[in-house]
Amino acid sequence: MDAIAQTGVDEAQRPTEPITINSVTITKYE
Amino acid sequence: MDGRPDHESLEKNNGGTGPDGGAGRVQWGQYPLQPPGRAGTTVQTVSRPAVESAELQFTHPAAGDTIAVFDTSAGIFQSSALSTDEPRRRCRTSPRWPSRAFYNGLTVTRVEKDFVVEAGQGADGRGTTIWNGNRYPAETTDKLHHYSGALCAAADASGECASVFYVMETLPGSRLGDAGAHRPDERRRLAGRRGERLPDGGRRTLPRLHRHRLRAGVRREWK
Repeated sequence: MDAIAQTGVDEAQRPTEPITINSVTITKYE
Repeated sequence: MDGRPDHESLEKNNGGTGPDGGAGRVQWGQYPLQPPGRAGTTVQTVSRPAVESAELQFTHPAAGDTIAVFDTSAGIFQSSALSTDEPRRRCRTSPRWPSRAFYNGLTVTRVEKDFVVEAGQGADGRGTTIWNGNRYPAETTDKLHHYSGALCAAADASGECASVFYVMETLPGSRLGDAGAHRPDERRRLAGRRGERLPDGGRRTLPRLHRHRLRAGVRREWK
């Protein structure tokens, strides 16, 4: 999350470089 | 608000600094498990001191607990499901887990330095219902707070939640960004910086809000 938070943004706080959610997986913690 | 958390709403809703004054975070919640994959990007490593706390959010998950793993183009983070009540049981049976495929391919739509990272809007830039066409009520509680690393569902103008989520992301030593401001003078200063006027002139402090909410037994978000 720190990496995402450090991305560059425009005036609307939108990232200038797209950060894509590839997948969300529900799993068991090991 | 349309699904977008703002400083004022977060201040009203469970805001506050962490046990260490905001320097730490929910310890296990959002570990970057792998370095960002974007070529040519330099990411500053943020050192966060460990925080020992008995609060629910700082409880490390047990083996077998249900977690969500978010795989993004900037790395992976993971989170558990902490509900208002009986978090462990709900983790196993919760119908509130959204249709996970909905998020595949979406992009992060908002990054506000020392405040939040937000995603979950569809292609039209708006949140949508992904729980069988229904929204669900906000599950605010005095047990959960906007500590750095907290994964939260955003409420829209209706006061209910849909697909938009955000993660608190503040730096060590900060007071949860503007959301953590709780002193009247700090609230006035921040409001002035944003060109806003506080309805109470900044006299209403966060601790007073919390005390009132506890007395009244109100769990819903302040309007």
